[in-house]
Amino acid sequence: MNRGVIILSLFVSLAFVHLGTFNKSEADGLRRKVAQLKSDNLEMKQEIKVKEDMVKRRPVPLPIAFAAVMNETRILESDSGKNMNVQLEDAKDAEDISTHYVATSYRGVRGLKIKIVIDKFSKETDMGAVLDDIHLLEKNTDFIAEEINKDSNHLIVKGEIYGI
Amino acid sequence: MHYLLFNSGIFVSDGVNTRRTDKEGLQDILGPADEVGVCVVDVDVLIAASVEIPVEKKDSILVRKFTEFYKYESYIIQDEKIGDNLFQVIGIKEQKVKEIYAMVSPQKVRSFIPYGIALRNTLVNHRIDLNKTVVFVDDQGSERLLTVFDGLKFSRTRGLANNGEDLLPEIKRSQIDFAKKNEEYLTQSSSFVIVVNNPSLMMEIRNNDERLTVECLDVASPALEGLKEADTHIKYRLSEEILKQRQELELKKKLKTAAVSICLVIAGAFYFLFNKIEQGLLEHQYDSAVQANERLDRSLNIIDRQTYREDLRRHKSLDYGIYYLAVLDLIPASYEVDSFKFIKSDRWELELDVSSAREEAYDPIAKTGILKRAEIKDIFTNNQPGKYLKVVL
Repeated sequence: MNRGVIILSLFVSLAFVHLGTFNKSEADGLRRKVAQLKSDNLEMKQEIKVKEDMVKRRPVPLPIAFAAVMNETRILESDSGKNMNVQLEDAKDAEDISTHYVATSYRGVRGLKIKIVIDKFSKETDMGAVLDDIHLLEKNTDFIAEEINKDSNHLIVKGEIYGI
Repeated sequence: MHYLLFNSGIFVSDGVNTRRTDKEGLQDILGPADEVGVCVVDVDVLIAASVEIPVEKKDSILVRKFTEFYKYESYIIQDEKIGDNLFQVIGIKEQKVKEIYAMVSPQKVRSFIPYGIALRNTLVNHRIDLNKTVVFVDDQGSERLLTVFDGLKFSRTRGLANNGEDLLPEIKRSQIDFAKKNEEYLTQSSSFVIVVNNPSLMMEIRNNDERLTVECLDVASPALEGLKEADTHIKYRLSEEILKQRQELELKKKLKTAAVSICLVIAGAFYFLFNKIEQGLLEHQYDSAVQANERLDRSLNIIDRQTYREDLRRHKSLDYGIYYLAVLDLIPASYEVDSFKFIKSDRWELELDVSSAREEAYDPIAKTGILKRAEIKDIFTNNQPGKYLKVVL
């Protein structure tokens, strides 16, 4: 009888320990998540603090930013006489550009990856002026270049247009 | 501590003084917290053989033998081992035990032994040789108690009124009765020693028969003296008392079991609750952190939309044409640019492949200005000797 009671209480105790162990593992998982979230929150606070001091500008919808890039390239084309062919990166021209919007490192800001192909070079082409045009394009639009590659026939500028 | 001897009257000793009292007087003498040692004169004794183990079987045999011998009254029986498979069974009438426990609370009784054992303790302490048969005469004034000892064995105590008659025939009769009753367990010898606790009685016996060995023990109450050192497992108790004690023991056991069980459950429950509470607190912390994260994310979302253009503007500081021309200025005119590449990693890098225009091999390129830390390698490109340059801008 006495032994039975002790064994029964031992089982009850073990059941509690089992539940406690389950709760402990849950708590350990939560502790890690809380630590990660706190760390993220701290980083976000610092990021906000830095960005609060920056100049605020009205955001531009991505189709309008894209149109601005297209418009600027047309102007540069007419000024320099070079052919600047704007293409979506890894996509055909006819496609709906909205399906190619990608997330960016800015929250709530989307990106469109494009490449600008410039050809018909000669040895006399002033490459410095071509590169200046690309810099001008960056300055006048919400486009930012990520890679400029010139081989014997083409100069390809890969980059991303930003907008909301 | 008081020592009580129950005979026709009650003798009480406080360890120093002894006096005779009655039932009512005893209640006045004993304090509420006093412990007592009890010895009883009126006992019946039987020597019986039995197996020693199992104890239950031994007890059964001894009770059966004693009951066969003393069948007319109800006894409480105790036994002591006096040899191999040989026991001295000592019974006290149940009625007598009840009477004593009615006078003295069972909780107060530390020892409860037969008069013979108490007396035997005193004889042993006074180095009386019990290897011989000893007849002890306890002179209590109005009464004289005769008990025969042989080794550990002792006889039923006979009480004789002190009426001035010659005691020697009674002593001899006691010795003969004892010898007859226990003849199979005694050494066959008719000699015996008489021990008395009264010098004048000793002289009287000696005068009656000079051949007898008579010794005197200078102890007024030898049984009460021996009761002080009652180092024996024997203690007479009422069956009700034994039952009560067993019930108390059982209750203690149950309480102990309950305590152990409760402790076990509490330990488990404590572990569970501790972790459950900790989990609850962490869940609360997690919810708070998630809410803060969502709030910050919304804020950052708004501020990112407001500042991304400014941030882009800050990252457009590289004027590619200027850097390109600066590199070209440092490359000898004998080289022509075959290809170049601006690549953005942490910082912008410019990679150039140049080849010798006049098929002259490897004009050196000075590592100065922007090329100070440039990586420059000799290569063979477009079937021409050339150079590979990598400049971190």
